[in-house]
Amino acid sequence: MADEATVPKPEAAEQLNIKVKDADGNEVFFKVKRTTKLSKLKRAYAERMGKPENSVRFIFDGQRIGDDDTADSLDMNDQDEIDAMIEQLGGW
Amino acid sequence: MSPRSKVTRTDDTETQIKSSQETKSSDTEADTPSSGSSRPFPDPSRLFVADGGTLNTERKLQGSHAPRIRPPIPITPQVRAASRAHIVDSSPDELDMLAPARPATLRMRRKDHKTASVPPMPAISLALRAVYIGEWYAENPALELVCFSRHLSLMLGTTEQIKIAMRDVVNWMIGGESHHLFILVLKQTSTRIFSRLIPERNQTEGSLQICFLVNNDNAAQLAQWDALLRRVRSKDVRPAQLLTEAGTSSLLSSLQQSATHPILSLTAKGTTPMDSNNLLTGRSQSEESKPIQNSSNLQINAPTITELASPAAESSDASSNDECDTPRRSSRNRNETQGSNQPIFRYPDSGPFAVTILRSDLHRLDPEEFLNDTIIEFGLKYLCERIRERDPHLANQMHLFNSFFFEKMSEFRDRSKSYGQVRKWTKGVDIFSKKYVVVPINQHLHWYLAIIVNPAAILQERDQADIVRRSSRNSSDFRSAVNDANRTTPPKEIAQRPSGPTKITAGENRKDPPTEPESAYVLLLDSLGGTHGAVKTVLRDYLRFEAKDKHHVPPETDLKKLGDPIGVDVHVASQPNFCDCGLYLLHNFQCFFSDPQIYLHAALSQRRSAFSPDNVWRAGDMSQYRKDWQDLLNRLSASWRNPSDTNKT
Repeated sequence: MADEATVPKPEAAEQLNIKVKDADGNEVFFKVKRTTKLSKLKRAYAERMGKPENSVRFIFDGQRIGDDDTADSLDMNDQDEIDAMIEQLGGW
Repeated sequence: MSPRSKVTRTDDTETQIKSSQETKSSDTEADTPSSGSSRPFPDPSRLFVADGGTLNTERKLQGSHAPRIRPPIPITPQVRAASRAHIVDSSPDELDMLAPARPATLRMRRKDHKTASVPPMPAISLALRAVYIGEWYAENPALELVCFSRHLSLMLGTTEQIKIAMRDVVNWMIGGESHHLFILVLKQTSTRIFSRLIPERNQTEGSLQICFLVNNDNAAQLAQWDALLRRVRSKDVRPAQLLTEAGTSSLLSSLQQSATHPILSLTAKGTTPMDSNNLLTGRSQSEESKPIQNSSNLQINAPTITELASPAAESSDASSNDECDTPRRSSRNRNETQGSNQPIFRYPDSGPFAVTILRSDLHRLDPEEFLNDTIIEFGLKYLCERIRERDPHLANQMHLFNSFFFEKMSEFRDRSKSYGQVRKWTKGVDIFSKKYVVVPINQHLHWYLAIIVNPAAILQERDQADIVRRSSRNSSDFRSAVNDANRTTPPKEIAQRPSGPTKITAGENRKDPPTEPESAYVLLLDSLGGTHGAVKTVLRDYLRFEAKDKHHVPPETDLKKLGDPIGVDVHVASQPNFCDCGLYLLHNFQCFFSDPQIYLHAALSQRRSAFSPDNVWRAGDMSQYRKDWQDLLNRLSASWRNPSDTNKT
């Protein structure tokens, strides 16, 4: 939507390098705009790793990243790291 | 700029992949484990082809059989699709390595099996999770799982009890934490089969042995096994070793001698338990490799088979080879996931770090389904908000970690390394200012809850005497921990609890002054019981590292001298089945925080004989609990409008 077009601040155009790290230590780097919804990042990541999107969780500083969150809204910095976790299930 | 271009950018701007993360060419598996070449099957569809087979079967079996059956490992849409697609393993490249050294011992024919439409099974075809092994298994950790190139054998000592085709195995953690995994390696056995049998998380008991039945002089293969082993070690705290031929034969002979239980009772749905005499037992017989005589005892529910068989037959008719079938399956898969990926609501509705509940998450609350981390996180946050409405002061005293916290914190044996991963997780939060730190734990497909009480109490350095006292206590940890708990907390509140059948048993330590500062506790609320000393240690180490990292103690402090929280395995109500532990986690959370003081005392003054956990932990009203949550989700979903939908319109 208009979110991208309307941001006047210079840093808005700035791109961040975000590292996504999974439990096995694999690291994938993404370059994202501050205003890009991180759910898109998650989708791209899941696709790349060949995992169903709904089984991947992005955790930033211990909190699950919401679908509408952006690097801006989470106050992320360049080189910040996202933990990619896999769905946990339990019953017994 | 259009959103489309944004997407593209996100998609293709990434990606330097550090490390050899592309394992598809998994001949390179000999890489060092740390290089992260780890996901053995990066492509889930491939993985599930390999699993194939009878997944749906045991799902049904389990569904209609009462609580005693072990639950299935949850079936994802992919598994479902894959299991429809194949009965015969069609990924020969990975699994058809080599004929087993010994002929198949236990051949089962499915009863009422439409042999016309489904090709005959090459070997045993009871899916692992269809087998009812029952409590017997849990009580007899001596039962080993031996992996051969194409099948697993459940061994009791050296007596083979049942054989399971490799492709039917999705998870090797069938026995909980405490069984031993032996991998017997034939000359050409590939590591690839076993790499996915490596546990995701730490195993604390049991052992893993990779045994070479014959001497192997293939250096490349040895390197692969070595790499696998190192990977196990990096994930797993159990002893793991590689045995040579000589070591293997002595291991086998010692197993032979220690085999004491000749009988394994084995049931599938609707059958009476049968003993192992009806199965093939013993090596000598197994050499004959004859079909099992009375396979009817192991019958699989006929309608289930039919249901399973027909889609499988359909797909194998349509595509007798892999190439044809794969696109077919994946398209079905896609259809299934598209609807289920639909968000149904967000919680909280605004603000960062909201939990998005998808339709697929809602189905996690269907009868007998396992709960996932999303439901747990939503549930805890939701309950926490209710607490906040009722008692804001209490809510402020609480800190909720999500369920990945413990997974991260227990990932490495080197706790400081694990701590490094969660160091930033408390940004802006001082957990030592909280009275209760809630840690939901998911281990081995099981949910339970840890609550750290009074974390700040560990900030006091212990004097030498205290350390000695505690270390002597460690030998008899739980009981004395409870004694200690009684000592430090005057149990008067619990006596006031009206319905409380909890009586303080003859307060042996009451003479101790109640003025002693409050201790830190790690309460473990597990609806399957058990002891969780290791969890306490992990959380203790977390607190210590956190104390130092966040400057709650002087930097020169010896962390070992900091306080040691008392671990208490609380006797909460037991779940009567094998699917509800997630609900019990939420229930116990709800109970505890309905009045933490009382429940703390209940937890600390427990004696198995003295009270019924069902009463204290109010488990009587659990039958509707699953439905209550589902109704709640439906309600919230009905009143929620997807903002992205509104944007579009």
